Amino acid sequence: MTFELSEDILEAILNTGKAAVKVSNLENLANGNTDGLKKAVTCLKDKGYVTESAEGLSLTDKGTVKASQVARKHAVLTSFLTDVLGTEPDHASKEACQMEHSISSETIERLDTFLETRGPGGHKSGRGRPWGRRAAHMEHAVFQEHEGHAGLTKRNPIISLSECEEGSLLHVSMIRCFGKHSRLIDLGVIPGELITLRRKLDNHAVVITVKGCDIALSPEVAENILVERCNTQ
Amino acid sequence: MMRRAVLIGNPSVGKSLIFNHLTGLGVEVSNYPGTTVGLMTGIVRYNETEFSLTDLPGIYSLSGKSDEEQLVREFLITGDADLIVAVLDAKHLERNLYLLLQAAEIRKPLVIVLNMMDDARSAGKIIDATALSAKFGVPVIETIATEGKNLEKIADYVIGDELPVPVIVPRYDHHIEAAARNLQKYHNLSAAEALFALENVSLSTLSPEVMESAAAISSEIEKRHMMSPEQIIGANRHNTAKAISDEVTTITPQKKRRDLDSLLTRGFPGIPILIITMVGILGVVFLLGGFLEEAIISVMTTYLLDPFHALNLAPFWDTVGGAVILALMSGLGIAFPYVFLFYIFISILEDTGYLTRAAFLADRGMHHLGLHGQGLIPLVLSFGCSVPAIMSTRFLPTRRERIIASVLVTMLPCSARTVVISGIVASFIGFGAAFSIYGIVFILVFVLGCILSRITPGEQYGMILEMAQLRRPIPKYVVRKAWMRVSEFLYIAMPLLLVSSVFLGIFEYFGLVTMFESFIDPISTAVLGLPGFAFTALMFGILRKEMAFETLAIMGGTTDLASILTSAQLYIFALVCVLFVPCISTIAVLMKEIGVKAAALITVFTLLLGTSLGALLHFVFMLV
Repeated sequence: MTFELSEDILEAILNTGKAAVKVSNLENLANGNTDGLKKAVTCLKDKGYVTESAEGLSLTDKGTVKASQVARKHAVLTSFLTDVLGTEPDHASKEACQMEHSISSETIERLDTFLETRGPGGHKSGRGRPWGRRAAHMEHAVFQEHEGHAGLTKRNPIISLSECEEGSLLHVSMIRCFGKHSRLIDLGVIPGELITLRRKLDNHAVVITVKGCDIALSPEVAENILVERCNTQ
Repeated sequence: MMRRAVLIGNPSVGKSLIFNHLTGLGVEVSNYPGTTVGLMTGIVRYNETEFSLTDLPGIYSLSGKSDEEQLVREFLITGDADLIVAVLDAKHLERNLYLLLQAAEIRKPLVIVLNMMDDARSAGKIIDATALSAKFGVPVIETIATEGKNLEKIADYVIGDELPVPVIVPRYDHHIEAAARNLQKYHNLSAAEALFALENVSLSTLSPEVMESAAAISSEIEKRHMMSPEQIIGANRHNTAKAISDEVTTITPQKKRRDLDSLLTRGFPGIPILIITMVGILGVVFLLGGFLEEAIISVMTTYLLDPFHALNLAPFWDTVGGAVILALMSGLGIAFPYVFLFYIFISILEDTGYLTRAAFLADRGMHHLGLHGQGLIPLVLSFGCSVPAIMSTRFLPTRRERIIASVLVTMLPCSARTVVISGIVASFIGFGAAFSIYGIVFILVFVLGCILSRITPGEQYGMILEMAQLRRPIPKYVVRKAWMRVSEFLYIAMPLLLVSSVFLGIFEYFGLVTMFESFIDPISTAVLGLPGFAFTALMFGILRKEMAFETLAIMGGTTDLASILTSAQLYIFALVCVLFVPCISTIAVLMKEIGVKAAALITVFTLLLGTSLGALLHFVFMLV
């Protein structure tokens, strides 16, 4: 209990974005269990994650890294729950709060890889996503990653290309039955690419613009391309 | 030793234009061993030096599994090319760089041709050729192929003293790079070969052993990345292409120009435009072709056949010589009026870029028949002549579609069969009856298409087709392209026509035809209700469909067919003639395009279909 609570505290301090947070503001985390809260804060101070001053609790460098890791787990899980399983966002966030404490870093990494391949900005070193997941720059990247995944949950739902309207600007998320459509890679229709739906006939045959070229696709190809609407250019 | 240069590039980047411009008339079309992909090779004489230039088929990537991609890959890795000339469309530099990066990785001498500089400029793209050249470490030639601008510089590099080898090293995901390094080290491969192995594409220099270990590594990478190495490598390469393109291109915003596509690719008015275009072409070729054919046949009869018979040679030689002339007449009578005219129109459609729009619109209808948009072309062509129609099936992406299209094409009534229908049924029975034959054939084609789309082996791939740029065609190249296809047709069909015609002639001379007639008479009468001479006339229709009509008149001894055969007999004769066994030229092209076995199957199938339908009709007429 203390362990989960202390992780929640770190995360909560990080999420406020302020230098220091009053202990009293964290009480809702403990559901009224002020003893537990005190115990957890002491424990965090002992481990060197937080320092307490007159303004309240502040994260140490070590604490920031730890908090970011927790926040990242939360973001990845929320993203998985909403984008892949279709859980309702509020509910997903609550569930993620519970799962984030027990999930291993290994599993989170794998889940992240999974999301990266199926979600927006799928390809590595991708332009679509500014955040990498290389261990080397992990410590600097954690904040970005957090933002990234938090952003992900707010993005548009992933739909098939055949469901979009003419003229929409789209972001390729994933290609189903990839083996059948390997020509799509050659033409540059890869996860992370921005494409425009130029024309759609009533049988859902489409013309898309990729890398400045117009490409006609049969309905059965179009429905295997999963995209996300882009609101801004 | 003559140097050899090869042209590679994406489809419709102007490769063929460059090829045509540089090579003289001595162009040779050869089949690459084991494939039906045509390779064009020509000799270029430049500054008193000769070199050979080969135009490889246009492709998007070297890692694909289509015949064309395999051929180009094999050719670049194992072939004897001294210089690769990579042609790029400057307007779509980023997309074109993808193939260039792959070609550059092979580390063979290469020059970059940046074509369509005028198009790029008018689209507001300024490309820094020097920067591009520095990136790849090879010369970049800026050209405008449609104006022939700077093309001779390509020749300069081919015969030049130094053959530049690209130095660029595209970066890949570190797992891929590690895997490629391992493969290179343990199996002694080049970097390009190692990547091909990881992408699981076949290559003659990669042993099954290599492929096996590459597959093992690949599946490991795939597990880690949730993405196949093929996809990762592709994505990495696209990123490199994007980075290079961004670096060397300056874009100035341009005013939007009128977009014809808003008319051509919409359901309305796109589909009416499509129908008018197709019917228009068909009509023109029909009328003009029929006129030309008549002219050719009558000229050849007056100046070749009649004088030959006037020589009064020994009867045997007279027959053989007559058969040879007849074969020439059949061949030329199809080649020029129909094949050539059709290809003129198709080349225009192709060069304007309209063909891809037509395919897009037709995609839906073609689906019912197990085909895709591109399948429209063979089907439309087939109303003129099955031969160019079957030749055009090679534009279809899969063998499955090529086979389905070929079967349907052989079934649809070509202009020669229309002559039979109009000459026999319309003139002697009536228009209604003539249309009913068309009706029967269309129903059969539709049903057959539905059946074939279910039973033909091979996976059904959707259409993924780049829309070619709309542009004005250049008459010279249109004619030249059509001419090349006609000569190809003559080359395929002539030998078979000659041989079969001479054989028929000899059979006739030795009285075998009469023997056949008396032998077949009871069977033919019983099964089809046709007298033996009518069946023999049908056999002659195999040479050229309208010959069935002509022979029937000759053998019956009168042009008033109604006096020798009943309406029912005439109807059955026409129907069987239309359906059964494609003509020799068609069989020849079928053999070349889809193989002897499939051609034989189609021939037997149509023979059975024609005769059994004829028999059925005979049976029905007897009851009535």
